[in-house]
Amino acid sequence: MLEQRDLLNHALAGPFWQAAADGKLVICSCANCEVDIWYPKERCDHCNQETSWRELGGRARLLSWTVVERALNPNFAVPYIPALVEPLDAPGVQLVTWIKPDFRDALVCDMVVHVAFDLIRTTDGKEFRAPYFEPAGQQGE
Amino acid sequence: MQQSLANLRKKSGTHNWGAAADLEDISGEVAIVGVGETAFTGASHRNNKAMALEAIESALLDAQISPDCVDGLMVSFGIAEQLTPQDYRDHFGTEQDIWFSDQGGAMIWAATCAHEAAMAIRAKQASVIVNVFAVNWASGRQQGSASPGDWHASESLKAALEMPFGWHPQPLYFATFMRRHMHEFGTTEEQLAAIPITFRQHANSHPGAKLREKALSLEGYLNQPMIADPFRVADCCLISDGAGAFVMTSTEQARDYPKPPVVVAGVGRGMIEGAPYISQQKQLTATPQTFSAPWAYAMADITPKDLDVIGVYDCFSGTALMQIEDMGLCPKGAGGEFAAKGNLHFERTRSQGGIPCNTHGGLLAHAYVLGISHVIELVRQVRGEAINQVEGVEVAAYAGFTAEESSTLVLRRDA
Repeated sequence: MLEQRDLLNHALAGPFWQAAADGKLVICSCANCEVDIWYPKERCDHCNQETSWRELGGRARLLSWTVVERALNPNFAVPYIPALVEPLDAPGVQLVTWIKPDFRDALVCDMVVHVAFDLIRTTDGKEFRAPYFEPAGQQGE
Repeated sequence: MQQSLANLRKKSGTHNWGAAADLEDISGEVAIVGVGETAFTGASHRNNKAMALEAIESALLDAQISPDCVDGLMVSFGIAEQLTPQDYRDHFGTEQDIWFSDQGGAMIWAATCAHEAAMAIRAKQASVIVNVFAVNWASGRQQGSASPGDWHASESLKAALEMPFGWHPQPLYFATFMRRHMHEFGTTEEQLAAIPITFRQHANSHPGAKLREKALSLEGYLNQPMIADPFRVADCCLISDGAGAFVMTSTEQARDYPKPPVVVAGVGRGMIEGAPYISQQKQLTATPQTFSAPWAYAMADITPKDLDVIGVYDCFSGTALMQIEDMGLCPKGAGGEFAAKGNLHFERTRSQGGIPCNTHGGLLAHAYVLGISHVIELVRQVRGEAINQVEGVEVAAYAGFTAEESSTLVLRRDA
């Protein structure tokens, strides 16, 4: 499990975590070809131009999730909910994310969820500011 | 007559989320003439290489050939410590040259090794090739040394974009996909249960299966707590120590061996776009078996209706279910209903609407040796010497899987 500083300095994914620390959700894209590139790459496969990062609006479709009930992953206290979402403004991009366990009974595939930012804490005391998602209508609660 | 790549491409179709590899037609060129296994156990502290050699000894005995006849060795790249040609010679006290490939072993390679072997035999690089796979992850888990999740955890972008959200190890990947399958197709927990229950029934009558003595009822299944919903313990593969091996040679030579040759009729290999990141797979409810199976069928000149028995890589119940659908054995999405009717049981033959699957118990109930025992079981089925023997087997298929890749191996009785 990487430390927050390793995430922030990660050669390819660093900008994702730096933006998250500022409360922004960004993905890698090619400005020249106007296509999103996910997972991130240094250069666009089509035009070979250096990629850049674009900010998303934060609304997404919940593709699926699992409620983890047994500590298969020792870094996370159970239950916890990893999920896959597709941003509404970046079709085809699939983000691995996280949903707070309080929402476990409210989840349905294809529902609209929106981004929020908070610290994710691991069992060994690491913490990092991460984008996670929750059902629409829950914002500000 | 050999089919062109263009013909195989045309027959196997195209998709927008992955593709089949261009595997040349090798149909009928090679056959499996010997199979062997070790005992399958939990943590045994047996050495991988020693287990591999024991499996090879057993396969050579089955083929009734001496160790100096082998001039080709195929092992797995990167999974556990595998055998080298020098280990082979040292153990058997032989001196021959041995053609060597690390594109063998288990998972997808338990199928694709037959293609590579056929090409090597065609090029006269070898004539009798042993494919072997050994794993001791049960010991590894006990010692905290090696585990199936290691590769995934070490991959840089998975570590940076998946691990921080806890989407690791593998049960979580396929639990996520299985939930989506339930949403899209209405698959129920009770239907999913039919997969571990049927495979367990096979294990219950199969000597050597790790869960031979443990029955599993629907009630017992539903009473198990969720691990990562919708998966319970029974939906997840065992972790085992053990090894398997099989011997391949040209079909022509194979006819001189004591056991009936089991001919390699077709091989396919498929990969998703965006590999190795299955989080980016654009069809979450399918597997790359979608690409590999049609290629293997085209090479073998069969349709899914011709299969009499299958072995499907069942790291999880859900991945078996999806691969059975993707092999064209029932309509896409209907796998749950299909399994719940008992169609995967070894006594439910094709003429009765079934397709016997994992007749040894599979990774869920026999042992987790990553698919090599699936191929060995299918060889025994085609020979007619399996424990849970399916009636009248002519054609069998193995579905191999890593996640981002699948493979398909079609075997048939010699004409």
